[in-house]
Amino acid sequence: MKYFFALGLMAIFSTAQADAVGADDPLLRGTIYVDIARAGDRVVAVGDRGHIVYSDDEGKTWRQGETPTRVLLTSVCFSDAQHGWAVGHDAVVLGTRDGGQTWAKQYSDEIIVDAMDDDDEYYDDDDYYDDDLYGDDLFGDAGPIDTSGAPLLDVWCDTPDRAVAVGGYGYLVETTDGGDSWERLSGRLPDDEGWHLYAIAPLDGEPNTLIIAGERGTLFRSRDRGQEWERLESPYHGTFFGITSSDSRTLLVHGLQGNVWLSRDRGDSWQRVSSGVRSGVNDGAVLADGTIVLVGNAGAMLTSRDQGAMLSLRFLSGRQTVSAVLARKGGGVIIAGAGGLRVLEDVR
Amino acid sequence: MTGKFSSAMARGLFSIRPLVLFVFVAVTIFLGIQAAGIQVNTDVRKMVPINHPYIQNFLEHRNDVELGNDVRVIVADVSNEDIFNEAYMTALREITDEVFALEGVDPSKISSLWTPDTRWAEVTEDGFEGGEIIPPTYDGTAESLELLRTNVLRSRHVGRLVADDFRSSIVHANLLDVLAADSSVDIPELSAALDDIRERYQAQYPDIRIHIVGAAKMAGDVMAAAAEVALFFFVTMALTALLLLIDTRSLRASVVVTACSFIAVVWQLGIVAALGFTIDPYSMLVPFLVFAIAVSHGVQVVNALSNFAADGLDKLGAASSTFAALAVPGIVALVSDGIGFLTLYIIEIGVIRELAIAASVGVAVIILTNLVIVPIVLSYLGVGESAISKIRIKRDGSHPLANFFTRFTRPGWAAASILLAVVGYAGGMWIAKDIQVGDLDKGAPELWPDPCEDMDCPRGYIPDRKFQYNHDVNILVANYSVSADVLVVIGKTPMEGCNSYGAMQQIDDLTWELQQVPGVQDVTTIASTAKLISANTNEGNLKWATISRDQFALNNAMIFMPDSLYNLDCSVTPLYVFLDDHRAETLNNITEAVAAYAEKHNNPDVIEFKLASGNAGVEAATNQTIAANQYRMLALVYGVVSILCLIAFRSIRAVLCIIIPLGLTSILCQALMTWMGIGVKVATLPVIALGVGIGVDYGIYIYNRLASYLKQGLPLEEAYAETLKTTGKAVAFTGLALAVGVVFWVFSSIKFQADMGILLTFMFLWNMIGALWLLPALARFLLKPEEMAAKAARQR
Repeated sequence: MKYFFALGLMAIFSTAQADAVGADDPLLRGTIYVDIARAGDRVVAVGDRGHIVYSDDEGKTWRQGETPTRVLLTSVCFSDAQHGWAVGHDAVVLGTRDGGQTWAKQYSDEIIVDAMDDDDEYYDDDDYYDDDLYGDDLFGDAGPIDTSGAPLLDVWCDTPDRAVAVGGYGYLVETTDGGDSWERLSGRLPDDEGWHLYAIAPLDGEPNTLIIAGERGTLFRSRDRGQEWERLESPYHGTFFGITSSDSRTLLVHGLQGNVWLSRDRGDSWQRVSSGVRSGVNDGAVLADGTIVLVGNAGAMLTSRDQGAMLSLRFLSGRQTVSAVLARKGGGVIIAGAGGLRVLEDVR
Repeated sequence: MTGKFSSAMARGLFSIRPLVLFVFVAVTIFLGIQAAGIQVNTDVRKMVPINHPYIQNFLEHRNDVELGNDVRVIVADVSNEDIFNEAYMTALREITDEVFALEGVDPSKISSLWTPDTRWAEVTEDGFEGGEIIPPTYDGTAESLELLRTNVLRSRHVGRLVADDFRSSIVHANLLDVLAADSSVDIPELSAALDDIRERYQAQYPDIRIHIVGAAKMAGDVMAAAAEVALFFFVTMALTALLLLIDTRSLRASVVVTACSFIAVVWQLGIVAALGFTIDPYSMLVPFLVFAIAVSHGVQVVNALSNFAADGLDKLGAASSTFAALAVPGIVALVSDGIGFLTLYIIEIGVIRELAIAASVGVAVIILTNLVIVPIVLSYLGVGESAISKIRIKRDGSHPLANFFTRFTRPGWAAASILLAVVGYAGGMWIAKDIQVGDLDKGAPELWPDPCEDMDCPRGYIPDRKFQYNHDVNILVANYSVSADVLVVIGKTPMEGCNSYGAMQQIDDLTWELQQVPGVQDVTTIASTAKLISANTNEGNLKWATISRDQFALNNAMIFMPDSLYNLDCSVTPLYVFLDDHRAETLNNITEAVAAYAEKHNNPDVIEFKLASGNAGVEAATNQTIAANQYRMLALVYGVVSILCLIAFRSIRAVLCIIIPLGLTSILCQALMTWMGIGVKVATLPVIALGVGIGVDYGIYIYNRLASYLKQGLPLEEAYAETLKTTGKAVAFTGLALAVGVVFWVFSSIKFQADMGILLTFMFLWNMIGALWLLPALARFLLKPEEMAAKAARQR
């Protein structure tokens, strides 16, 4: 039967709803999922190959949404139960108006492969890990930086009309008309050095205060819902991958090497919280009882019951990288990552 | 049928008895020397369908693709909490050194916690940090063990080199190319050396158990177990001689028949060795068959000879008459056997072809050793008085078994029998429609399944030797993120094209399609790995786990790409498909999915997908070869046997009488296989052909005798009663003798030999019953005794 479900999923893009599949289906365990978001009573996850799946039973079974892209999607966000956005590589932005069942492309910025110089530049380059395409000109005086092909890495949605997405090389785009048009906001961030921006999120309970976090300890703050931005003094020179806030006095940013930093004053000052891991901490969620759950590489899961002051560590079986976590209604969390989508009934 | 030709030949041969015997002894000595030098096959290529396109693709790219040509030595600690203790690490280092020094192991490709290529790495603010898993400062102290534990945890070796439960780790060795024609790897020797390491270290370190998994080890175990078959052979020989003695009451005759039958085996092995062939676990069957068939023909000879002696002929006269009487049916039967076996030759798998030739040679030599030499020897010795008097007593009395079978010639019984046969045909076909091609069990199907599948085995359980390999496989699969069943799809690209964006996209597409095929656990490809490398080089973040459109980024990724995913000039990239099992259905689903994708998307300028390598790829090729040929082979063997019967008896009715019972046996055998979960495979396909080939003997002997009585004008029932008294008894004996010849195979350490034993025992016994029971029933409706008698009278 599973085979036919899977075949069905491939074929039935034209029907309103695909068949629901369980967690063992290749659709869920054979794909990398990177982010999960809530759309009312629905949960929506995005990931590799342009896959978007949604669940109406808190992660037990999933259906596949219809998407017009096959690139890796990195983030998803809903402003209400119907309206949402998903973003990903090639700076692609998809929008939905039916709670995630169908998606339309609203923006993209693909790299033009043919225009690239195809000589052996790479072999002459001593620094193999440097990203040749973007890195060379970044601080040069060769005019405007070509960041086409940069991925979008996170999206925040304010209202059904307004959303802001951030990405690689300081990429920042915004819509104010429900996605009919998207605008590059170059220069909106002060002293932007073009580092990757990994996360954009509001302070819990204070929607006017927004934080952006990224590479090289990059931290920006806005007090007016993202119109004006200021650079914050960073406590760390490595990369921040995520922002988690459980109330206006609890702002956590987290990233490389098990770094978790806590601010009780909206980002003005920071203190390090010991995580006990040396792998990346990618995402966080706040449960109904206020418990903060952070997840990361090597299956690390950190929980705090005291607004982030102390973290306790456990490793999930399989130790696969977890990229995102979402609180379930009725307890537990749903996690997304290299092992697909999984429900954890109990986070302890 | 005692035609002029046979009589002339008998006179000719018997007039030069001493010369014939002298030549026979000389040839036996020569072939005996040859047979003593026969080699056991160690060539893996003979076990695969070498001309199948999958195997051809696989051979073409064998220098570019890792072949699963490796051995994993799992060193498990069965007492401590985990492996991080000094004694374990010391043992592991010593075992690593021992494996490193083994003949046939590629010393540049060996990994364990102790080898310098085993490293840890982690992403830091400044890039990467890493080092050897076992720190250079390691000294066995608690602190250094703790550092080792930390390094293991931050490495990517958990699930690969170190078990998920940290209670074992692996010494992973690649072998030199075992498929090369000039391969220097001696598999039996390597396997024995590994067993030796296992025994020594388990004795030296009581906390340690060693499990060894790898195709070479499996083949080694099969080859080693094959030797025990020699023991079965002598048990069989002794039992057969005993049966003969009970049956004939003639020690002389029993010894002569056993000896000549043994000589038939010597001849067969000698000729096969002289032809440059080898014996292997599959063709081990042949000496047993040759022996059993030889005995059965010897019994016919002794039986006929005793009868002639009972009629009052002298030794020479009885022997000469026997030869004249049996030459035609004997030769027809043996030639049918031989050609029936030869039909196996259409299957392009080396071991089956050699089996076909060996078996055909074997039955051919029986014509000489048993049809000619046994009567000649007995013309000197005679069968003895007790044998003759037994025959005389029997003739006067009526045998209960003969009475029982005679009734099947009566119209009512005959009709009921035929009805029963029809039911048997229909029921057999109904069950056999679900017969599977290939192997149905988990683990290595050649060997016995792990008993721990059905029971809880304690930690450190040591299974019986014949279960060891599959037990080891289960330990591996249960504790590591690897599958024992891998199918490798070969991706062929232009030079330096294996990591082009276009090829990567195609590979990723196919990966996704394959992931959805039932039975696929996981698919590892250059594309799936490039995604993870992309994430890792971007500080380990999955948001970068994608195939970049930027060729420079793809080239950068190759620095971290494992060697096993591309070849030297980046023109071949294997896709590893890890499977739940290697059942034929699972394999079919995958090969069909790959073929369909390749059909649509193969493009020599970007990438072409070719099937297949890996153990599951070889298995798939074997299955396809067998599936494509099994009905062809059956049609051929039945065709050949029918034509030979037609030539010998010149009557379609006779052919039907002989073939219909045979067909019933074949169908019931397939039903039995379905019911017992035995698939049609390299080991069992020959059995079907052999069963038909041998089964036809019974029919030929019975029909021949029955027809001769009918031609004398006897009514059917009486003719059959007479037949049963003479040939029928011999047939019953033969069925038993043949069954005894193979039934001990059930105890073989090799599972497929046990399967062969079960099926052959069934076929031999059931063929006998079919010939004794169904043939007379068919004769009732098919034969016209009056016409036959009239025609015979006219010819006289």
